[in-house]
Amino acid sequence: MVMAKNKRNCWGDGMDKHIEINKVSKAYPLGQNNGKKMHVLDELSLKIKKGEFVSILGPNGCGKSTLIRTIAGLDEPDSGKVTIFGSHPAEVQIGYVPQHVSKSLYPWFDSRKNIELAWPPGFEGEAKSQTSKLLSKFGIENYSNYYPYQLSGGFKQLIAIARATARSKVFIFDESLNGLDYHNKTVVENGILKLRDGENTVIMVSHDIDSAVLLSDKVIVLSNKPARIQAKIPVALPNERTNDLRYCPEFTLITKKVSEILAELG
Amino acid sequence: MDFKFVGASSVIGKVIRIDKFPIVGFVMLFVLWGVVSLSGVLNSFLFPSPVSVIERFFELFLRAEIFTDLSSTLIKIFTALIFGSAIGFGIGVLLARWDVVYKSLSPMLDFFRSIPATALFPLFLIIIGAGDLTNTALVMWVCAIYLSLYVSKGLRSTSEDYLLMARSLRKSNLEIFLHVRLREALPFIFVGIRTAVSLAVVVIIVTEMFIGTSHGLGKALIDAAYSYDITKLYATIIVVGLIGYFLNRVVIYAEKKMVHWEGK
Repeated sequence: MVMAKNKRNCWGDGMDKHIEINKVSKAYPLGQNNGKKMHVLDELSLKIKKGEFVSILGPNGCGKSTLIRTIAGLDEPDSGKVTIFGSHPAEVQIGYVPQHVSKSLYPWFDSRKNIELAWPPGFEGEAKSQTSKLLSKFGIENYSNYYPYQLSGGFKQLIAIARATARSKVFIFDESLNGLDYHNKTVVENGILKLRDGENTVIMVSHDIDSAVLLSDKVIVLSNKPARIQAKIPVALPNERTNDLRYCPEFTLITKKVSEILAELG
Repeated sequence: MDFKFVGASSVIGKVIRIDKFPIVGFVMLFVLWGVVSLSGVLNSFLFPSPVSVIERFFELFLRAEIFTDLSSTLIKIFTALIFGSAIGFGIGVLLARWDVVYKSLSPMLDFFRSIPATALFPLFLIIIGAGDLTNTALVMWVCAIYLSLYVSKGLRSTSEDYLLMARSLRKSNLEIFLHVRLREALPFIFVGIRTAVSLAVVVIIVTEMFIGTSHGLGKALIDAAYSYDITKLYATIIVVGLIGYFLNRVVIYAEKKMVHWEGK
């Protein structure tokens, strides 16, 4: 009885260790009743291994968010299939962290209650104890009773990330570093860096080439819409990522390559 | 001249730690009233001195003159507010649930809201008859109309982003309703509650002034006027004012507690 909902926990312990995006297409009606559609994704296929950290970059409006929503099970593709470790995305818990932290944390709940939302009703005991652990793990236990409006942007994103890790090892970040000043961005980056452990699978949509390269194992560049995969650039850097890596030549070479590809897309 | 006055009170304020400005207002009113009354410029029968009104105010309570009327009005207000709001809330939730229902029924409700409650009183009198139930029913009507409109509109205005986040957390529809839609709608719902409460006080007092009311502050007011018990009239007005004031403070307090995140 109690275990029923827990089958949604997304740890990736099963046989299937891939996130598969298989020939996914998506179009939106243009709203002029003339049957014309805006094709956003065009038979996009991508395979991500469990434990990989993948960044998705591309020109504005190319369909990055649409792709991410399809992977997260928040939208159905018109054709094609997405599976997370063999299941339909909507059947599993995923750790979704949207761009604006004002849109992810509920202002009427404090940090603790926001994180406890990850659990369904009936699991309050587990929610409470796990949340305490998470708060300590991210170093924010002193802020458990604070409300979002009492916290800086960086801390709010940390809470959103902590909540995402509660019942899933699959993370989807939608431009989560946008609009943060240097200090707050570092706080959030360090939070995301904690996820690099070979067990967590992260898909991060970004505009920030620098952060994307520093944080990921692979950078995927999407073309203009209808989006296809323009390039897949492996990030050949040591597994242990620190801020200092930003200043070494290998890092610069990779970011240069990514910038060039993006520049071509206009 | 003003500065010296305010300066003295601010010293007192710092010592006694009370918010000085409202007291200044009331003291000035009292003094002005007293001066005008003593000067004899106005008819002392229709405009009694502040002292006599204050005396009469305390008499109302010490001689138990006001208790029957006061309790009658309070019972009517609270019954009507609670039941009317509950009904209105329920209707609001149902309206918000189905788009078609909302689109067909809310314009009609909006029209009903536009009919002043007092205009409906004669109709209620004929249908229900004279008595406490009629007044209470009318205020219940007001609360139900306002709450159904504000609750339904509030529940329909949930941010897409909050809903998206809830769906990503795989929340059930009931959880989304309780934790997201209802919460986000609270500030707007409170606007409806405040409006309904203000109107409730007005409607109950006015309808109590009609023949057929057995007890109530409205009746006390009209009786005092007809029997030329002028100080009682003024004193009862103060009582009614205090009720309205404290009801309002209660709503504001509830709102502060339940909607702590707004405007921050």
